[in-house]
Amino acid sequence: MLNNGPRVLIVDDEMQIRRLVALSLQRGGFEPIEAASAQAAAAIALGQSPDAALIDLGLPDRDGLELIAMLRRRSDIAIIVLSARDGTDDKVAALDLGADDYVTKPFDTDELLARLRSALRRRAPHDAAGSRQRFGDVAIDHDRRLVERDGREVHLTPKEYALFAELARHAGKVITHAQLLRTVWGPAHERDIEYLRVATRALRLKLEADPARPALIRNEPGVGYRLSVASAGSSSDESP
Amino acid sequence: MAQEDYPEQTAAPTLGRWSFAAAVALVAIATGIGLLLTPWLSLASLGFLSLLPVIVMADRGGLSNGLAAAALGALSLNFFFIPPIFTLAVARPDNAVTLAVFVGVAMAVSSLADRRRLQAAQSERAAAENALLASLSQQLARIADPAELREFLRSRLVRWSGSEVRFLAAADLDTAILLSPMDVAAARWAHAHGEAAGKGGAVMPGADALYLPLGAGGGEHVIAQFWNGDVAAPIPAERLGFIRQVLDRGGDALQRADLMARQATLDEQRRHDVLRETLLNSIGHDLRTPLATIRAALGTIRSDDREALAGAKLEVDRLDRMIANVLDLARLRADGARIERVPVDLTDVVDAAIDAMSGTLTAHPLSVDIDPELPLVLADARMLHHMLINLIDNARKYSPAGSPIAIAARDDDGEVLLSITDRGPGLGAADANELFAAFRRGTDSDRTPGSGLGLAVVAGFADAMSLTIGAADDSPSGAVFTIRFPARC
Repeated sequence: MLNNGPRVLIVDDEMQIRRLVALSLQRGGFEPIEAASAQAAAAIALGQSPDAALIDLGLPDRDGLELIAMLRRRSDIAIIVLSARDGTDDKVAALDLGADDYVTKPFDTDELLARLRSALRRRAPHDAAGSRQRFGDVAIDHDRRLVERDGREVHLTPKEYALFAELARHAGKVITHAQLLRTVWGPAHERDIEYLRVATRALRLKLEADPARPALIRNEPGVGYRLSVASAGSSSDESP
Repeated sequence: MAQEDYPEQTAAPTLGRWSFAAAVALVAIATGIGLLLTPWLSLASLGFLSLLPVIVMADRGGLSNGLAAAALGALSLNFFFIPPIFTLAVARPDNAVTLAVFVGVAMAVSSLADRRRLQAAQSERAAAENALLASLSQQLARIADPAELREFLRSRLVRWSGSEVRFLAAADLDTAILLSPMDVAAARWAHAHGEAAGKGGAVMPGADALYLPLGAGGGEHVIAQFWNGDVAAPIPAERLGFIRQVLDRGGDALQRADLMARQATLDEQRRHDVLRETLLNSIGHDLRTPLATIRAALGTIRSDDREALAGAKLEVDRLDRMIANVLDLARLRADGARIERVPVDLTDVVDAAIDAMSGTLTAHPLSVDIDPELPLVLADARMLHHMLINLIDNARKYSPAGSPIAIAARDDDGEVLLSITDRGPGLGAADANELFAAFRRGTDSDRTPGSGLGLAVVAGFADAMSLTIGAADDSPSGAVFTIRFPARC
């Protein structure tokens, strides 16, 4: 359950970006707080305990990554990183340090809000229906450890189930390849991407309407996988 | 630095006036003692007595002096002690035998003494050589510059061989200024067999100089040439072993210096790479930041003019893609593309590319046909992503609104073939290779301007990942671009 106006800390050294993102956030029902540097952000985080933080990785001197680590150590705050690089190293590093998701500059503000909401949803307290999740015609029951499609149970191998469950637990957010491998196959298999690809393919064959054009299990090249969910809140401006 | 000179060979002692006089004197003394003690000494004992001068002379003076003493001693024995005395005749056969035995033993003793003397001299020389080698190794280890090392080595070889020394590169033998074709042959032989060849050696002695291999240094194989005018052997025979050891150590040192120099170059290159990557990232950041501001502003502008707004957003995306292409091309040109090959599912790549292009593809129905049993391919996911975006963008640019774009991937006899097909004008007169070169376009290009960067990136990335790309006309119209992935073993 979301409180009205979750507080979102925006950390970016570019004033224009901060202002514009703050405006989008306000329209989206959030309460933005601006910070121009990692140091300022840390102070605000300590004092005001925001619910989420949007952190620019382009802050000088790796401040962005250190800020993520610091924030993650202290609390369960939702963290989304903004990156101007199209390489994946810094994003994967951020995710490994505890960021929940990322967007690449220039980004679509709707996309940003959608990911922010997904990140906050995860952090929200469990409710009674929390053990069951539904994504279109696919449903997963965490307690009974089964997955259904169109009301009928789908047979999944233990690894396939574990993979889907992990994606579902973080629905809407990207999870790195390494983290998925660690969680489902164990830390020794952190680099065995092949296992992940094969299992993902099997899941798509069993759960997607068109496995060749996946709508549910999406891939971010070089980063990881994301279970795609329809945005809970709609945006204020039209997308093309 | 007299210590650094090769030890002087003391000449083998020869029989001279003074040593002969010494032999006479010693034999006279022995004879005198014998004469004094005649009543108590047998002939055999006298013979032993006469051996003493032989031993002394042979030990001090070598074989010739020992033999001289032996001859004098035999004469003295015969004349003074063997009846009939004071003559050189020998009356009794057993005395003749004694005399003969004396001569034999005396000669043997001379020979042994001489050999001992030689061995002692050799040990001394070996010790001196080892000292020189040890000193050489130390000095070689202190020189880091390969050129300086070679010059130092050369100067030492000159000093120790007494000849002129040159270093020749094995690869340049034909063009080097050598003395004769025989020399070229000798040098080659020395290089091939690792042994000395040429003047004074066992192989090809007709050459004008002696050639010995030095080993590898500076990436090339080096041969040392020893030349000393008309002298029969540019390297004295007894020094050949020593010189070879010097060459061995020199060769090792050269290799070491060369490796270190190359390592230094590599380190320098790596620093450059890091610097360049940092610069490119920084440029990318500087270009994308204002673009991000524009995009965010477009996201917040409320306007009824939806088409203009949507159009502006698309142009921002397009600019973003171009920045990516420019940076990718810069990295490729500088050979700085870091490739991380992992197993990739083409479904993922196609899905991500279509997603990235979703805004721009509104006018083109898209069909995706990927074989569900398609094997995974080995590629850098991010590079492939960019390749596909560029190819899809290319298809979109050159085909009319409403015409379909088809993306397909299938197994082609173990290899995987990914194809993007459009219903545009086709390649026209353009050669497929020309198409992928930067800054070129096919026919009818005035409709959609562009610098052709996209296809150049596709070609560059394909090359970096060892993938094959192709472009051909499709029937009845349009073009098909393909990426071929080799079979994974």
